[in-house]
Amino acid sequence: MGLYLANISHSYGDNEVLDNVDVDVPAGQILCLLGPSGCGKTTLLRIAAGLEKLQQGVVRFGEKVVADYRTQTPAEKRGVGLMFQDFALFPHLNVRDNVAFGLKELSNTDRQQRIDEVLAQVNMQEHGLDFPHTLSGGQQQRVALARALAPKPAVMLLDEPFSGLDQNMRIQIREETLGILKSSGVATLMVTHNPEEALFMADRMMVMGPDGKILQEGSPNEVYADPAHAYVANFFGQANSVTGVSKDGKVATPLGDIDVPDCQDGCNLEVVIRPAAISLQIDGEEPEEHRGRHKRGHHHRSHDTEGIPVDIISARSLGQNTFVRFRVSGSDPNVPDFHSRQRGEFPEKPDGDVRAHVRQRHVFIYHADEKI
Amino acid sequence: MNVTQATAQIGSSTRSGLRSLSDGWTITSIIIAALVAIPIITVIGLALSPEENIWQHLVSTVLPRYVRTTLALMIGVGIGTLIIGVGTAWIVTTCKFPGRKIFEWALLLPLAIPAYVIAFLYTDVLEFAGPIQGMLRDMFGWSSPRDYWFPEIRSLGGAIIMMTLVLYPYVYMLARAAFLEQSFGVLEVSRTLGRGPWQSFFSVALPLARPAIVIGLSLVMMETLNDFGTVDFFAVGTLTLGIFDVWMNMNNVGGAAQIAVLMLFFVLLLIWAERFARRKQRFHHTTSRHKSMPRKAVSGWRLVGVLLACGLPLTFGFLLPVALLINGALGHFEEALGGDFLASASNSLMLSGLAALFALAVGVILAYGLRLRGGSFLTSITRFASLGYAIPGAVLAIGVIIPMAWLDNSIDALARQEFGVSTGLIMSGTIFALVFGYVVRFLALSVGAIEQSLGRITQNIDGVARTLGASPSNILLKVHLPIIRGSMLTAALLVFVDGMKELPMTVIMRPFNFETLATQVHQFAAAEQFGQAAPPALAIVVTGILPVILLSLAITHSRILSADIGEGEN
Repeated sequence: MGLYLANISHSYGDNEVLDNVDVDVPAGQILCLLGPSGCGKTTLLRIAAGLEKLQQGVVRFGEKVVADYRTQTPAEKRGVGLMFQDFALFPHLNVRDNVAFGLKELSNTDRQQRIDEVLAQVNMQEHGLDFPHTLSGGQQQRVALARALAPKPAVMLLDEPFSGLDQNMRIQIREETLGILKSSGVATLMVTHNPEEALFMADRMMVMGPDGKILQEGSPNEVYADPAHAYVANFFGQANSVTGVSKDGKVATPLGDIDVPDCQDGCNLEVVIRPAAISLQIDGEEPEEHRGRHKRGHHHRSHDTEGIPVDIISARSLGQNTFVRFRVSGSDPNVPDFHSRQRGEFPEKPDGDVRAHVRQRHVFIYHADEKI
Repeated sequence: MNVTQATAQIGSSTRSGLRSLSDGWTITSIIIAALVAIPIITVIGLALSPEENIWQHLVSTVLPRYVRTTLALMIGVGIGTLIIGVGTAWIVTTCKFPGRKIFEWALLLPLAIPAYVIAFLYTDVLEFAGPIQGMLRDMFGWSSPRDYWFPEIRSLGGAIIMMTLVLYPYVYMLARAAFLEQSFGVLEVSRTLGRGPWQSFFSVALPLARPAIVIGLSLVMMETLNDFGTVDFFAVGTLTLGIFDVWMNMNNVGGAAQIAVLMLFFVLLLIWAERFARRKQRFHHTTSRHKSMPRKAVSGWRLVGVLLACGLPLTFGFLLPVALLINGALGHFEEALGGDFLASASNSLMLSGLAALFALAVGVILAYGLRLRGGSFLTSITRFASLGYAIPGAVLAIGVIIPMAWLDNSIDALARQEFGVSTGLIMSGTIFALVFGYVVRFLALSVGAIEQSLGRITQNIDGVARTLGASPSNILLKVHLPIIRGSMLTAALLVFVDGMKELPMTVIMRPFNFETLATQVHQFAAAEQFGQAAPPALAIVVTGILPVILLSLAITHSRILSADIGEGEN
């Protein structure tokens, strides 16, 4: 049984947080809704759960309408599993009783059996009698997941489910959760502001803008590799964004001219260059990555065979990568700094002149926020 | 299946809406809040539509004196409690001296003693026939009051001292909490910027604690306005006494109501001051990094000063009165076990117990109604219904009696018209009316405590519980009430103890011949039978100590307690 939201709009007073949103999550699929904090993504989740009154649109579970303009099934009759960032475990109940909370329909033996089952699934059998405040964050997350899954909901709703965990724990729990959700075959809607998390978890993902509109929907790869809006392109990491005017099928940027063949002259364009698109070459050294990466396909082409001379401002190691901030040499003070990600190490004070080359794969051009 | 199909299938979904569920709660909350608000509305209504205008008469006769005396009493008690409360709070938070840990909680103890109890105790000791003056006469050979001067305790000054002695803990409690919350960092900064310790106190610590101190002071003022027993006993003509005078002696309810209205004006000022201070208080918690103040050891004459400063309020506000009470009660042991005492004790227990239960139930319903659906209307009506704590008992009594009498008369008229029988007074002058009055007056205690502890439970808990199949009422019963049961007990206890002490409303509204411990103390004291007043007074004081213990525990462990709950949610 899937989860289907159609034409959902919602506002708090004059503030519209959802604008005609459609979401389809077939059974067994995980859909991640990615958006900035404060866009309507949590509201959408609460509408699906029945915790927020539907103002406009239709909510369906499979064939069954649970909310439309005439009638709304209360949350307790919908049978959804819900998980929050803070886990919201009942502090006065131990782990087993927390899990049992949604199982009141079952006979006692069935209930105990089901509790054992889900606790085993999340690997928490040994903590059945522990109280929530004695558990670590990761353990609390597992209990919250078990509690939500115990009544065998057809729909799971996850609200920033991993944000309450520290970095190392997050990666492990994320993987476990993905496996459990996949094996239980529920339709899952997860909202997050963390692009990496969305990319990892999603079968399909949707990106919501700050005004509550869905900007793009697709597989994680599609959305990442082909962002339909400047906003979406910017959302994945700190991209460089410059504006320019098209002329003779090209747009001039501080990092060189870039082809825009389908554009008339005089269009105001926004050029988004991901940090990974820029490779920096120190004079006399071979740019190791620049080679062998020439599958440019239909992507935009710059004319920087020479590269653009730049001055390094700072280079900070992130472990596998180095985050390098630089300026185009001799550029106007109005031209912003650029940042790039270099694989491996990069010296803060290089021995020779540095030139920037733009890899076309991660450059995206928009005209009035429409992808070209 | 697409959307159009889905829209066509509306029939299959459940009909009971989300709205109706929380609306049930909202409507219940609004009705209850409105009921509780009736007395308050009545008093305000009386102010706006004076039927029986004796205003002119009042203004030309007694009113100016009532107002002057009330103001003098409030200012005197305000200054007294400010000095003692802030001073002792500063000493126990910044100094290190033997007994500090004991003083820290013991300084709260005078809160357990009603002002009217301490008033008759000191009168007994200090009056002409009392032991102190007797001893002086023996020592110096004086024989009549004309031979020497001795301060008259039954005076405005005496009332100020009595009330200061038992009310300063409000200021102490809030000032101490504020000083504790201040990060020592700011004081250190002030010292490094060249201010001495005294200057730092006046230029940094005191201004930072000011909102809390103002809250404490306004609570003190509210209690001062509410007091009937002391001013009656000392014959200090305040507005409260005026209400009794005009009502009981001149038999003029309208006039009493008009004085009540004048008092409401004072009350509104106090409420405004309190709210204003509470709003300001928020801005003062700037830093989350907390470094508590290191205490400075004191010795020599400073130690003597510190011990006196903390010891005197405690001695005269609690130790001495309790010793006198125990002494008096022992002397009247027989009466203590007699029928009158037991009857009034059981009346007090019943009244206060019922009031605590109802206040708790109403508090839970209102606080949960607010949680389910805030909304500005529900919020304002709940806040309004909780205003009773600020309104003097005598004023509130008028607000309860007038609508009840109207209801009784209407029912009576209806019954006579329809069935030809007179129902008489069903509610006025019954225990029911009195319990209702208590609930209105003390509701803020329970709503406040419950709202606060409900507020510490994240809304996500409700969300999860709903999706797991629990209705809002189920969530209250199975999730919230078990979590907040400690606070519920505290709330009920606070109401209970205030009910035990309550005097002005009880005097006005009690059924004929119905005595509580408080009214007994009042009557015996008025008849100067101080020994007889001791056993019931001691009973009140003993119950009054319970919440003081809770309060001091709460202050000492507040960080631990909140940490405990916080942990459960992270």
